[in-house]
Amino acid sequence: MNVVVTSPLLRKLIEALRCLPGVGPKSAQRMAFHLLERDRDGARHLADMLRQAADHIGRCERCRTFSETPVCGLCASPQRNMNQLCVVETPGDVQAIEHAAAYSGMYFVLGGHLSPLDGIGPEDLGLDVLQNRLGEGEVREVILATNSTVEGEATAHFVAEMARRYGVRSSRIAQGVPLGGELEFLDGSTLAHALSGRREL
Amino acid sequence: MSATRQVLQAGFILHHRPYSDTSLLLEIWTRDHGRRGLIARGARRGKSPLAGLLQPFKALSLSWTGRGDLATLTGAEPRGSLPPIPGSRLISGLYLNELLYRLCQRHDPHPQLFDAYELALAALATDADETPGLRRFEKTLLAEIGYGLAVARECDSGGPIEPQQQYAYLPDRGPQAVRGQTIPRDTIVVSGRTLLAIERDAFDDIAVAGEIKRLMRGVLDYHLAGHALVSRRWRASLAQLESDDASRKDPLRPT
Repeated sequence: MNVVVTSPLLRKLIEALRCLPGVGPKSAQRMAFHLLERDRDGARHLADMLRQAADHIGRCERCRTFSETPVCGLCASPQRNMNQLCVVETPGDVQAIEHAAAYSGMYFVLGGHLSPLDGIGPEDLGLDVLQNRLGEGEVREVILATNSTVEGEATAHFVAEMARRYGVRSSRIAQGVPLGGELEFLDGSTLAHALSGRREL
Repeated sequence: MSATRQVLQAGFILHHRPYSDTSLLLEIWTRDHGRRGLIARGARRGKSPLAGLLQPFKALSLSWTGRGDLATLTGAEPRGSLPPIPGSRLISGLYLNELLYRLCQRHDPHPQLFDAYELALAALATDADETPGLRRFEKTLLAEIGYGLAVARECDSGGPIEPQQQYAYLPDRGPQAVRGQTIPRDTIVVSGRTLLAIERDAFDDIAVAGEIKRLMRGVLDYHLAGHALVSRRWRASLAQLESDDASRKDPLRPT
């Protein structure tokens, strides 16, 4: 960076901020200056929160999403439907579904997808935990909400096979025309999926 | 070193991983330029039309520009239409990709192996049994990277292979007739019938399919030099799940 940095500590702060996604040298510098110039309390609070989060947030034993208690709030809630289990790739996907859909079942977070070239094997996706979960007999339906990529699809099929072994029904989330989408501008493979996955009216 | 600009090269995506906020790092496999790395800038940005296209097992025409190990993708178009691989066999497809990734050097063109890969993908999509297609690809792969199977003759005598005779297959020499000599514990031992089936490309011979698989696996492992294939662990787990085993053994435990 061309800017003259007058304080080594400031330089280190700017460097540290760059570990955030989407933060380059320019944004990091702006953040650092903002915190120091206008919001020292905010900076102290942020530092405190970061430390607490890094030290105390672990994985829920039941669904593997982020949680500071052994079992997360969602898994502990008596209002959720224990018979449905929605399998997703990341904790972010849980948030997305919670915000969007009227889904009241449980979740399971794989923490990735089936990807041999990234060195991810069956033991890396918490499938043993999922298997125990299926073995408990409470889950009646597994909803496969992995990404619509080759790897996500392969993962979904693997989990579906596992569910079948335990006599649990599995379903895959639908793929097709987005809301407000016009067919003319849709890519060929999405359109093909939409056609093959059509349903009766 | 490859030329600065390549236009509409027949290729596939072997692997893609996110890179920075909006880009993808691709490992591609092309007919005329072998395996190489590409960066697809902006391919993960919201509604990029590329995201759906830059997936493994899709026949593509790829354009890129730049020298060295990491060029920049400048275009991708669908090329022909391979039938889609059913979900239950995607793991086998990923296995083919892992083989290419581990055993082919970057920038080494193998047009014949490329064609074999296309055939293998088509076989995965349509064949009733996926096994013969996989074995055929493995055989071509070994031949193309210079480790072709020597299954025509006994390696000591140069004599023909006898169907009933047992042979120890030595990856760097070939089949050696087993006649009471002590063989090291990890040696691949197969019947002459298996070797003859491989020689004739008769990969659909059910009677020797198990032995062919074991031989291919042993030879591939030898050339992978201790690099265990992750897709094989997935395939093993899946096979165990599918083997409709009523007893609830743990299918994820390595056997």
